[in-house]
Amino acid sequence: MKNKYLACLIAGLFALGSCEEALLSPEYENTAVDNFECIWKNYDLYYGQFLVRNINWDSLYAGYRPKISHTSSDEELAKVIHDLIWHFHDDHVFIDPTVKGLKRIESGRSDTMKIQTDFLAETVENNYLAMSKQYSGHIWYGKINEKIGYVRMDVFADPVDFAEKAFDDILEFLSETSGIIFDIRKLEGGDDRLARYIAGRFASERSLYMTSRKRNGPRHDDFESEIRWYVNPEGSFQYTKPVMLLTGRFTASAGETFTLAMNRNRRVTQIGDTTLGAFSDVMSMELPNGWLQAIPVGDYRNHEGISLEGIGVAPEIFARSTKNETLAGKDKAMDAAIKILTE
Amino acid sequence: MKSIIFIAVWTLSSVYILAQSDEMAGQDKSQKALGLRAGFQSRHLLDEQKSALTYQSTEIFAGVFYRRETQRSFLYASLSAGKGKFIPDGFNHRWIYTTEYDIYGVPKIDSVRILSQLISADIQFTWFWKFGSGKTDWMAGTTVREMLLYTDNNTGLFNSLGIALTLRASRQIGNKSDISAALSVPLISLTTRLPWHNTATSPDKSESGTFFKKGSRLTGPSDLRMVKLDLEYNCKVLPGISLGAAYSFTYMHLTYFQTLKSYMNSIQIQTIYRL
Repeated sequence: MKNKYLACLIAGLFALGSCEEALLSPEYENTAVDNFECIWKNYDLYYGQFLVRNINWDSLYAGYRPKISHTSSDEELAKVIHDLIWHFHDDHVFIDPTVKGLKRIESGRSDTMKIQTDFLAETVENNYLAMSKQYSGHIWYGKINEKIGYVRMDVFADPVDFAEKAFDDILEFLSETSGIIFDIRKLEGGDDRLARYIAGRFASERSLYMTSRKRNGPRHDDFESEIRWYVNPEGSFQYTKPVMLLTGRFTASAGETFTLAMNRNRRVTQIGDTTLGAFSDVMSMELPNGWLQAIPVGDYRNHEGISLEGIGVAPEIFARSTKNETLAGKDKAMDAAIKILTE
Repeated sequence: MKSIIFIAVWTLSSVYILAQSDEMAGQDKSQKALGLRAGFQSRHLLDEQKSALTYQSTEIFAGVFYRRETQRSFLYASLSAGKGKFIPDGFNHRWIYTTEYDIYGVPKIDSVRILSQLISADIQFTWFWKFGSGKTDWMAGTTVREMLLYTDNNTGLFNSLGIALTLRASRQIGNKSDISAALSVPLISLTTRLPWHNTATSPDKSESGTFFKKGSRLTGPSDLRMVKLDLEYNCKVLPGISLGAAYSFTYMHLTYFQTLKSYMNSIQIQTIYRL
């Protein structure tokens, strides 16, 4: 008899543990309306640039919410979301549908700027570099001639420890050069701390280069206290000769905070095109339909307190190749950098 | 971090002093036992700060525990860790698609399946005071409990170190078996989760350092509501050795910064060696 009571008790507890709806009570169901509501609310709670960009989020809700109904298809939902987030003009704002056939829903330049025509790794390697090596999955280096070195990165993804060893080796290899071209025209982003560290390998003094603050409450002006980012001389030695930093519209996110840090160095000259204009850290949320929502949560400023979100960091020397020039083996930014370094 | 160390040292010292005073009272000789356990647990979790989806884990876990019992007290310490899949209900086969274009405008579509994993750890240390008389041993105690939930997609990322009130009842069944039930509710905890903005980067600290610095706060019953129920059955199979089975149910409701709710069913087998 006692065993029966025990069995009943355990069965009852398992039943209790199975009541997901009662115990967790999710706020949203997987309907088009709830997905729209969830997207709107997530940006409302976490987006960090409503004030910088002067966006009236409530009025956008009033304009777009009626366009969604419970019978809206995925494609219709995607269209309305696209029209909604277009108002941010923010390359860090996007939605990744997890449905085959639906592409990333984007805002900002990324919505239309899909093809990079001003840079091609093969053009640089085949027409400019006397020798080149790949150090890791994200770092390439080499020499144009005995006097000019070349470093290229495509993402700041490695641990700082790894970068320390990598830049010890690379900068040692390039120690006899009289200048370096640092190419980040295809650098999509990554870790701001790694970006700062690498900028520090070229710095000879401590400089404030950026401030950041992130949302910490439901009001659009709820922010944590401001964080001040300084670039310091890093590593056992620094490369203190001229550096030509090549940027372009595909230089994004941590590539841009790196540009801000490098531009505080008087030996650095930024050449190429303006960077993308998307600096903030991004958080990822999941919607009731499983799609992924990217939300920039910060308000990032340069050392003068100016927000360059949606604008980008403009080069000191503008040089951008057309598609035909790039395919023909010509790279105007490389040409401009080499010219300065050989003068 | 100072608060964590303070709570841990204060509570462990208290429990140690109480246990020593009990020993020194010389009521009887203590019975000591060491146990090993392994089992399966399934956790359902809704972290509204990170996802609108309800996640479910399928974890295996293993642990070790120690007991020391006198006529007046019962000391219990355990350590367990689990690992398993952590997938939203109904989204077992979710893929993310990326499209890149080369300089000629030719698209290249890649797809990656979205998978996530969970690691959990649970350390608890309880000193019970026995009260009442009769066939059932009734006990009330103070538990120091450390819980860690780490997920590789940051959903439900959580740490808690706190003090809980625990009630326990145990009873012998015949000469060989015993059953017990325990109910535990936290009183105060130092609870950590990702900050409001769900990121943990700062210029001069590691991600884990930023996580603990920016996401920690003292929580009482108004912020962290939790109940843990443990049921256990053990049977002597050899002199000094018992085999047993246990079930536990945990419900948690954290209200900051956004709501985090979870419940977990756990079943396990265990073997206990009398020392």
